Amino acid sequence: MGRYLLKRLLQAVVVWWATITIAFVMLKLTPGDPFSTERALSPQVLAQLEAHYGLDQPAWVQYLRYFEGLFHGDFGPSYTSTRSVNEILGQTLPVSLELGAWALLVALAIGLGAGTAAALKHNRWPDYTVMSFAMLGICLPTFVLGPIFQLLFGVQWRLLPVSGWFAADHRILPAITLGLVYGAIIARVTRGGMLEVLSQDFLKTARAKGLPPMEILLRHTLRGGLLPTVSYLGPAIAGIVSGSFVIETIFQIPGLGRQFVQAALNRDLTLVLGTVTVYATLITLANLLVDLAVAWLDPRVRSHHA
Amino acid sequence: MPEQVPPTEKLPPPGRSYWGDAWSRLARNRLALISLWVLVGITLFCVVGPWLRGYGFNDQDYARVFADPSGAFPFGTDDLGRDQMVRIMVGGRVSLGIGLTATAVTLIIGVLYGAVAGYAGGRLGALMMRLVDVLYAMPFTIFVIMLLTFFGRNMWLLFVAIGAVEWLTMARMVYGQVRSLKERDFVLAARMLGQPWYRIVWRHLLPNVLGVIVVYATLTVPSVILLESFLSFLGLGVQAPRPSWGSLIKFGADQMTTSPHLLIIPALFFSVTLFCLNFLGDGLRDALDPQSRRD
Repeated sequence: MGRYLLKRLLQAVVVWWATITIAFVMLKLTPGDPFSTERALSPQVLAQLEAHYGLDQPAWVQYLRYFEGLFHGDFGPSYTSTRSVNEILGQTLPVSLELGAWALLVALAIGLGAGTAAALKHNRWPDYTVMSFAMLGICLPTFVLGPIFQLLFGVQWRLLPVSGWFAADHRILPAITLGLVYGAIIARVTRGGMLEVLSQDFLKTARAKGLPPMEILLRHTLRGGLLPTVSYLGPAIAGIVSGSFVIETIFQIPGLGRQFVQAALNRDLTLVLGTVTVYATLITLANLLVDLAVAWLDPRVRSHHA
Repeated sequence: MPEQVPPTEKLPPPGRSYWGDAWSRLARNRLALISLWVLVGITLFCVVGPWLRGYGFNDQDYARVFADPSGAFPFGTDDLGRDQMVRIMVGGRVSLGIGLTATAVTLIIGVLYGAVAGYAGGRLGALMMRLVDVLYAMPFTIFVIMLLTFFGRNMWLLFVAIGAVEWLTMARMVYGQVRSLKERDFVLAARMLGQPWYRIVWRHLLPNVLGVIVVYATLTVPSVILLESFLSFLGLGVQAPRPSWGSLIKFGADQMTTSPHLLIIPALFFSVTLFCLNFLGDGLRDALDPQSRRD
């Protein structure tokens, strides 16, 4: 386990560093300078601006300085806002984390419940119903589902607010829209994993021993059957992050996702780099935790990699 | 006791080819067949439609702005009085076209990379796949958004960006298959005959992986279309005035309180296409790769 842990940790660090580095290189290769506006700036002003943002240094110095700042928790100044990148991230990240957490909760509640039910009633009507809805969920991406939910629940029936992020009822539509797709995929993955385990001999033994069905389900089936679901959580979290770009735009939520898209469109390069760093950290951590959970649940993974 | 089978001189029935066998399996899958026909219909509608429709996708007429669906304009018109039907057709051309082209890019990169890594095996193969692992863990959507906002939104960049994201799964699939195939006797025989490695990969290994490749290519098309529409929805994909299904959905979403059909019709086209592609992919998987059936 120790060796696997070390290996996995090393990979996480590589991914994290490579993501930020690729983003940095892309920013440096971007044509045009960040301060080009309609009015040409005088050379003196431009030089002062560049000195302020450290752009008068060679690229590798800027690169090292960025990481140096990161280790002090400093993301640097924003190009287009008077606020620092830290301030903007501090305001928008909690909103996105909350949205993501709700969405993940929705996805897990729907996916685990429906997937388990489908597997236990394999090839009977609950199975068919769940699988049809799962297919529907996969083919209705967030940017289709979101506006349609707004139209139905917000405009037609006036049950829920169409957009914004103020009261509790503002959370409902975005969280469900964002979570539903992943709920559908989790349902499929869970069903597959459970079916695989259900056909194994040790369950026959458990049944033959006369264990109560509930105990068989909880102690013997779920541990192995949920493995694919747990492994899928990594990609699911990455997907929820990119889904948040669209959801926060549709529902006008002041979160990190909308901030990232806006910053990219405004060419606010430091803000873009800051958000990418936050996302890289989030996704790397999530993947690491998921892999460790899988290794803990499945001894084969540990021995195979060690 | 089962009856003893009498010895016969009869030859076994003529064997059916792999593809003939697969086709007959697919033909029995009603859902996959319906999907195939619906896809053919939508493709014809989008490809041939604009020539028959008589309006260009950017023909503006301020006398008929936001017209409701009617005989002359079955899907209504948009804010500039452009015929929504022809815009959906042209948008479909764009979405389907990108789906196919980017999938081709994915195929070329993924299959070559996976096959070479699988055939090389050992340290080099493991190293190449470790790189895929690292890339897999990266937030590629973010890179694509940066690429498109910073370097201009042209179609070719879009193809390359999408193809570059989607090749990883293909590489993994092919790698796994080639690795197990290369231990087989016919590969050993080819090697003993002095065949060079690239010839063995091209002539002996890839044809055996073709079924899996076809299945995953079919399933890549909907995910490529999804990614393109996602980007177009954010305003980063295909540029106005040229429509794509993603940007039409975005436009409809902005007008939904007054003209809900502008949202619903493109969303329907988009979802039905994704639906059919996924069903067809699943059907092909069952037909070409029966062992992978999970139930």
